[in-house]
Amino acid sequence: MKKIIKTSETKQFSVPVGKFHSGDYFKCMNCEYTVRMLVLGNTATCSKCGGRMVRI
Amino acid sequence: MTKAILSERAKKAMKNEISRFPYLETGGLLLGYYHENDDVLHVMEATDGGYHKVIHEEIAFQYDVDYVTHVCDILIHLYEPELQIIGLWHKHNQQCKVHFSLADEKMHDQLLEMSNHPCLSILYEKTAEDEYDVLIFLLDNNQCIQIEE
Repeated sequence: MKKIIKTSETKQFSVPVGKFHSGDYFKCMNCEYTVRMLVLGNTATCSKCGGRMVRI
Repeated sequence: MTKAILSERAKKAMKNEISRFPYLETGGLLLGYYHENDDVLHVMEATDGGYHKVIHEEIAFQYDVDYVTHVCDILIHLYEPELQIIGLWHKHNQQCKVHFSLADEKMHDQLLEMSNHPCLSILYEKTAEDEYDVLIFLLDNNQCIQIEE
C-alpha cells in the first residue's frame, strides 16, 4: 500500500553563531600579564604585579 | 514580569548533556513558545551542541551550527503550533558574581535580533561541591535579568 506524505514549506530560521566563553581577556598595563577572567567592568588589578589590567 | 516554565523533558536533556561533559563546557538551544497574553516563556525542548564540529573546552563552548539548525528544524515541526527558538543554554565550570562574558552577551544580542519576543538564557554554574546552580535569565530590550522558574 502506498502512503502519501505531504511535504510542507519549511520556515527558514537562523541560530546565533559564535563561541560562549566563561571570561574575557584582560592585560596588565604594567607587566603585560594576560589572563581570561570574568570581571564586572573594564578594569581589574593584576594578580602578578598589582598593576592595572584592562579588557582587551 | 515574564515567567519561565521548563518542561521536564528539556531539564532532562540539559542534565544528560551536562553529565556527558563534567569538566568541559557544553550547551545548546532552547525551543518552546512565548505566550504573549500570559507573558510566559515555555521551554519545551533543549538541544545538545552536536558531535562533529562542536567545541567543548574547560572555559569555552561552541555548538555545531549545522547540527543544531538541523535538530531544531526537526523538533520545531514535531509540535503544533510549531516551536520557536526562545533561548540558549550553557554551563560554566565555576561560580562567579559576573555570570556572562562579552562573548556570551554577543550570543544573547544575536538571539534577540533574530526574535520578536523576549528570550531566555539558562546558565548552569558548577559549585565547589560539584553540583550545579541553575540560573535563568530573561533577555529583553537588551537587558539580562535573572528570574525564577
